[in-house]
Amino acid sequence: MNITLTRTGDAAVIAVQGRVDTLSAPTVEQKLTQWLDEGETRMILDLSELEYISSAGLRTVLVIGKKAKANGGSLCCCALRGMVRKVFDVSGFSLVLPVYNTVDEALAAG
Amino acid sequence: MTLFRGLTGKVMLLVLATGLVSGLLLAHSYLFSRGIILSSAEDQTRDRAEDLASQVEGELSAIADIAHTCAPFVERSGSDKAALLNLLRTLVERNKHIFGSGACFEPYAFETDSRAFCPYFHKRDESVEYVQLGNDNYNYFDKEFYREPKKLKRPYWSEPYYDEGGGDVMMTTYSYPLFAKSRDGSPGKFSGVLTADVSVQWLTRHLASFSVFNTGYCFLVSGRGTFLVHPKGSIDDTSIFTLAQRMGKPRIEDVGRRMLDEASGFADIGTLLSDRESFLAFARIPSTGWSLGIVVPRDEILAPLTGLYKKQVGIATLIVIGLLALTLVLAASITGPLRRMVAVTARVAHGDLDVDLTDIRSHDEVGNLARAFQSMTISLKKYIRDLMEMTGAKQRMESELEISAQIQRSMLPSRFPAFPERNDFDIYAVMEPAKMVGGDFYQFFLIDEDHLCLAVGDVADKGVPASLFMAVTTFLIRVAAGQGASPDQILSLVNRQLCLENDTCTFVTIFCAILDLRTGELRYSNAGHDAPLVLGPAKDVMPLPIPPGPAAGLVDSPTYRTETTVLESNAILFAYTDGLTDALNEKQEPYSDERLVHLLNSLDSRDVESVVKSVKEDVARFCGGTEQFDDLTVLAVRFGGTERIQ
Repeated sequence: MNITLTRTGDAAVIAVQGRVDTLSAPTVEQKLTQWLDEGETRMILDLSELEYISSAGLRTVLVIGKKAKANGGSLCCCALRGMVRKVFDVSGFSLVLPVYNTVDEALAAG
Repeated sequence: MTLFRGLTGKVMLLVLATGLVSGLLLAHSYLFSRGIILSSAEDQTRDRAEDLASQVEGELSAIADIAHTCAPFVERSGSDKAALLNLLRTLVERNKHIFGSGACFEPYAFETDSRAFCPYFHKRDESVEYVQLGNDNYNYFDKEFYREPKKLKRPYWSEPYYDEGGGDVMMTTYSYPLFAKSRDGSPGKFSGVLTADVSVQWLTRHLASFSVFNTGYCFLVSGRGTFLVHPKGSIDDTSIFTLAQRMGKPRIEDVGRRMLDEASGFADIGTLLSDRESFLAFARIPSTGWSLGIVVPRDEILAPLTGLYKKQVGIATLIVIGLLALTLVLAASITGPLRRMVAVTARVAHGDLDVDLTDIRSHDEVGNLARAFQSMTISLKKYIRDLMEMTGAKQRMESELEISAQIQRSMLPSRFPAFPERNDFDIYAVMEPAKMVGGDFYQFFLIDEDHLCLAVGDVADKGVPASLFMAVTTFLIRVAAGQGASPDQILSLVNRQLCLENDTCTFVTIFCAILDLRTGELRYSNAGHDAPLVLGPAKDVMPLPIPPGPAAGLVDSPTYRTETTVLESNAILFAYTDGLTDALNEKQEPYSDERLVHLLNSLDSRDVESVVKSVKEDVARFCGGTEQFDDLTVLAVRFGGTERIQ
């Protein structure tokens, strides 16, 4: 698992790569929380290179999304593919969080 | 050398080495100074010998002067015997250095009637005695004191001799030749000698009164080497040459010759004349031709130097001893605490942390070490206490987890066959938690005689919170199903309850179904869960088309829908959680839906237990040694058929 932040305007595009499972979910949560605490408000999760996300990973995204909202910010996901898209669809996550096809779409939507 | 292995020994060795170096420097300096002093010893002793010789010369020439002064009176006295005797007596009485004095004449030179005339006065005890030496027993004409000046026609100091029949002592005699006056004033005929005697005893006493350094002494040899004053240890010998002969030391003879030949000189005579290493310096007494020798012990010359160095060596030794003592004290103040710390370390190593080093109060590095050690043991103690508390807490937690796991397992129906009295359906399920307490669950129960409710779910969390969530969920499902709710209603109820106060954002995916055991009609609804598979009687494996619906706990009022299908006889509904299809092998590849479908396709058996176990074994084989990272749940139910055996 690898997570990197790139600033684009007022938005933080966060690329999550590899697998987010029970073991790596806490790392993701800690990183995202840190960036939130550092003042990031508009967070776009670029999941184009995410191979796998477990339910624990989904819960992490949900927790951060709630926190961002509480801070007056927002969190959205984009560029879902393969198994990740399937998980988002099956679990109904697409109903809870804004999901975009590409990073550009996500940025434009802001 | 174990003695020098310790710190104390090493420092002591250092001090000793320093002492040794200082000692060597001191020795070198001593030898150097000694060389300088010895080279100046020759000048010193020779000067002293010359000085003493000139003193003796003075004394002797005073005596010679007296004889010289008196001689004309004797010469002019004619044959006035009374005047002559008076003069001689006065000479002896008035001059304390003169032992005796006489006037010896040629035959018939003084008195025409006597052939041998020699009046002689000499001291005896406190008085002065008279003796006429011109007698048959005392033939003065043959005596040296008469013969030699007569022959030489000049004054003469005799060799020492024992004056038997005269003064009866060892003496030496100064003889002044007398001459009869001729009428024309030219030197007359030898007429006799005027003598002045010096006793050897007096000379010896006189020389003994000279101080020659501290323990040095003088001796006197005549022009022929005869001892006038003996050197110590040579009383038996009359001359320096007999001494050399008796002692068998030819070098003494050499020295003796030098004393007779040279006006003054110096010789390192070693132990020739005494037990102690000595120097000899000598100087001639010109008027007599005698030689005065002084013998000075070498160590006396070196005495000031030796004294100085004895003091220095003493001081150096004291300093070294003092330093050693100081070293011992200092080293003890260092090694004492160190030894205690070594002992304490051994105790700590054996687990005894109750050490007290607070009495080591020194403010040096050792003190710092002791304090650091003390605080280390305190930290260690605290750490061990914390660790024990933590271990205790962990053990408690683990036992609690174990209990939770037991409770959780007890909540999942786990006795199989679950309905041994029923042959119209079979059901089998397993749940293998990744951690002690998992978030997966399955549930099945008969709502009534003809309806079987079943559910498979996955709580998006692990451990105790997940199991609590799970407990709530299964409870809600039981309650709702018991009240006759449809699957979508059941999920809506569960969702509503989970959305209340869900701060942790935990959610649950659930597949929930109610099977009509009379008809095979399966009504089901889904909350974000993977679609179950249906194994048809003819080896066809198909995923159940599932209606959309979010996981429970995500959104407040989602729309769940109930779908309906009919299971054929002997068809198996195979429900699972993603722990099955997402299980990874060593290459990080997931087990995948495809592999699962392929496996199920290949199975001949329609026995639910063997189907579930085959799947489990296949997954285990696929994963190899990889650790299971997610809960794994499988539930299989076989519908027996519409023609129920009553």
